[in-house]
Amino acid sequence: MLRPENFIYRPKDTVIHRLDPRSKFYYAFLMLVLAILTIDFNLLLLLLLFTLFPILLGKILKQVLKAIQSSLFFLALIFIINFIFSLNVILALALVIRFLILIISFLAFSLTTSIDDIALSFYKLRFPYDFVLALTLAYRFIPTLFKDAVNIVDAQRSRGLETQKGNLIKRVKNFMPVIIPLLVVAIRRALNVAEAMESRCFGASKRPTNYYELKIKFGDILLFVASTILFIIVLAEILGLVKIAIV
Amino acid sequence: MIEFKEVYFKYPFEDTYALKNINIRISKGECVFIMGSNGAGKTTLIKHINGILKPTKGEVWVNGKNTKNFTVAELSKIVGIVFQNPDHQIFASSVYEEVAFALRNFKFDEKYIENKVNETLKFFSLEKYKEASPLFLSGGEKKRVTIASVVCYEPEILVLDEPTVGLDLKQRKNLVNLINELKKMNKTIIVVTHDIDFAIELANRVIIMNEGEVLKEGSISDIIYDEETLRKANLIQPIIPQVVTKLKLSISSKKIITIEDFLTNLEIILKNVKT
Repeated sequence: MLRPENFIYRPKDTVIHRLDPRSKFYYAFLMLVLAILTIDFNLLLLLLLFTLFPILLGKILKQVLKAIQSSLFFLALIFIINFIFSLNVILALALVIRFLILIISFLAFSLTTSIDDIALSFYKLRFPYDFVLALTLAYRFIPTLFKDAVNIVDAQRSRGLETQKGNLIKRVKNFMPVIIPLLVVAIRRALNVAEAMESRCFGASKRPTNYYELKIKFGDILLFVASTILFIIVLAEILGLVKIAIV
Repeated sequence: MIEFKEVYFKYPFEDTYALKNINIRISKGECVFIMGSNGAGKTTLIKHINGILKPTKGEVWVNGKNTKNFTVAELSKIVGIVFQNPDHQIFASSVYEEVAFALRNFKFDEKYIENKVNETLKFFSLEKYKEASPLFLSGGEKKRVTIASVVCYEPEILVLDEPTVGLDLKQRKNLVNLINELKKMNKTIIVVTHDIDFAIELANRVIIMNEGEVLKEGSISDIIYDEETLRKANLIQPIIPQVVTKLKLSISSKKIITIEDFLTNLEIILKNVKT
């Protein structure tokens, strides 16, 4: 089962957590691009190895493994479908590794970067303050909404609701007692948050000040350079300029 | 009868147990209060009674049925749970439909449902809201609707999670009357609450939980004079036991629970204080 707790930032004092969100995003973005650009098994394996460094340095291996565990169904599905259509184990494995790179590089960013830092990065990139705040709140309420959904399902099941019974139309209809309270709770919470924000002078200034400023440090430069070098090497391999052999 | 036999429970993907070695037996007709600090495992415990949660280790038996072998819908006919937040339950277009929801799920005939809903609405003073949307009622009224929607199908066991939250004095008195009525009908009642005065009014037995374990089990008088347990469970000692403890009386203080007990024993108390 997908549990939002496994995808959410927890504060830790590690070298990766201290990095600037922009450099971490740059790294994650390059990994995503490279994983999509190549289908070569060796290259994907190299990229997978590279994704492990921030996971180990950021001490988030346990959380990443739990997230992968909840994605096992999709990984198996990718392998089976691709194996059936191509009858090529290496290709099916390569696509599984590609999916793993996408998950791990996303997690390396999201599990080590607080939403406040992400929002601040957008703010520094001159995005409107309202947009940045909406982003922060949307992200922050994911676990809360998930918890609400679980409680609502429990409450309705306790009154005899069986969501898995009947044909497709009946099943969709069975979910109405879950969807309506979930929407009502979400709207009510949004209104309460809006009122609480307005009571604290939200909107008084178009560009409010921040508690702290983002600064590029030595570690950020190192990650930037390492990611760029890897990007160039892998791109050169894809274009046939160099040859990398791992397996 | 409800029986928890060496129950351990761990949520998926969590490292620690939310319930540890729970051994509880609740007899038919008992009114048991479960108390403890936030995160003590009270709600996790009650979710085992109608099978929403199944034990990781151990067994839960309800009226001779092992909850592992029955669906929530099957167990819900015996066990009615009213959850803490009414907004997590209310969805129907009218109060009538909301109260009729469980009765329809249990496939009672329409004539019975109509009679039963009208009777329940009358009992809870909700008749005037019969056609109103429950979504726009006040907090206390919503709470009454949620309790009514479970009480209406007359489950043998009624579990109430924080039932006094959001109720004013009059509604709280009505709830006390309702529970007393249900006790007379020999129904088993389980209440999860932080409201110790509510427990004083109704509890036959109190179970104190802390960090997923049963810290203490006993009568209300055993609990309210046990300062150490109350401190661990983050519960405030009621004023009468506080006064009696401070006076260091030589009489059996455990008999003095309410203000009425205090006044009845006033002569003895004064004599004790003088000596």
